[in-house]
Amino acid sequence: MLCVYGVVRADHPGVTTSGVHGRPTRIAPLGDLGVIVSDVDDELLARRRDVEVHLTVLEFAMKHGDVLPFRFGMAVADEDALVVALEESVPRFRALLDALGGRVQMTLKVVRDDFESMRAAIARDARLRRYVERGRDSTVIADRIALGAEVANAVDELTERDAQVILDRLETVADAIRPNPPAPSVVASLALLVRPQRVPELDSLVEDLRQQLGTRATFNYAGPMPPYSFVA
Amino acid sequence: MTVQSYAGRAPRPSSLADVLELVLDKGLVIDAYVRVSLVGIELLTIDARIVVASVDTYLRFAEATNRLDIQAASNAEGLPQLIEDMTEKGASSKTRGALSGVAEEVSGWFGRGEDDEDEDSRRDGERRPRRPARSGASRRGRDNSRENARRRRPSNEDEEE
Repeated sequence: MLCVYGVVRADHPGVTTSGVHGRPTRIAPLGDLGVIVSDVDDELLARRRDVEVHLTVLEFAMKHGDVLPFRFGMAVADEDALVVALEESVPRFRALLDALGGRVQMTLKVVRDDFESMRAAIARDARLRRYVERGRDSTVIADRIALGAEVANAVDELTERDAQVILDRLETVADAIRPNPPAPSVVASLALLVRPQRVPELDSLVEDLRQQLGTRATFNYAGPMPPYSFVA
Repeated sequence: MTVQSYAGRAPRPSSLADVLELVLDKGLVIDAYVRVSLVGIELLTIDARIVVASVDTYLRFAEATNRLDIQAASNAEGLPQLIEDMTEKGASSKTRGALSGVAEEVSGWFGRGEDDEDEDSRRDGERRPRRPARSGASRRGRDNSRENARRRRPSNEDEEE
């Protein structure tokens, strides 16, 4: 059985790091393209370290050329089955590889600190500040909910503004942006497709945004990585 | 390709949940009729969507306003003690707890490869029988949702044989 990692151009030199279960990787031909694979025994388990290996193989591969990453956990019976499964997709893969043209994926996840965001939202709104000062000592549950709703809305508005600022700024550097589905307290969760030579520019943009949002958000910025979010 | 390093950037997302979202939700897939899926991995991201009831959120914010020094807030100055209070029992702790819960669940799932449940897991993947109740107390609470998720999925694994 073959564990499948990613699609590369035929001239890709392959990767020297080993695949799942410590078995060597190789490139299986797929038309005029290649697929990085490794043999696995029939007894497969999805362990955390196998996910790490999947990532590592792809990270090595991207150093030597564009790679279209497969989702973790794809395996086929043998090289014939691989060709049967993927030959119809070859034109699409080729177009995707050409479109990549050396670009890499970066990810940015900005998570707000609710309390600090509330502080910032109240600080910039005199009307809300007076309302909170007057209303927060009430113990009537309806008052509490109304006050809380007012504050929550102000925080959400601030978050939306922050999200828009982040997006506007990043669009100046990224060639494509794919947002992840919204989640509670997440200001922005984005996958960016970037030319490697513009990564330092992106670094300083992110640093500026980090300074701008201060304590009201934490940044998780990562990359360069294979373009997981841009191959579907 | 070499990219200069920058202290504020990691090579990969720092949380396991984010990494899994990347490699399990994204990326190319092989047609379900041909592929052999690794055991269980499709179930991992299902619990990662969390809904917080609005009223609960509002009450948390109302409570938080009581901890806020309005004057200091309008000066946008730090209130270290209050912030520490909030970090311990305040607005964000509930959400964070739920999120890290997902990560723990996920790592527990992968970590299982180390012990004697391997055998069960593998057969699960091949035949998809209803999984017997686990004895591990930490996983018990999640078994239901995982079973439901499992049943919602069409079983593809047998096609290959």
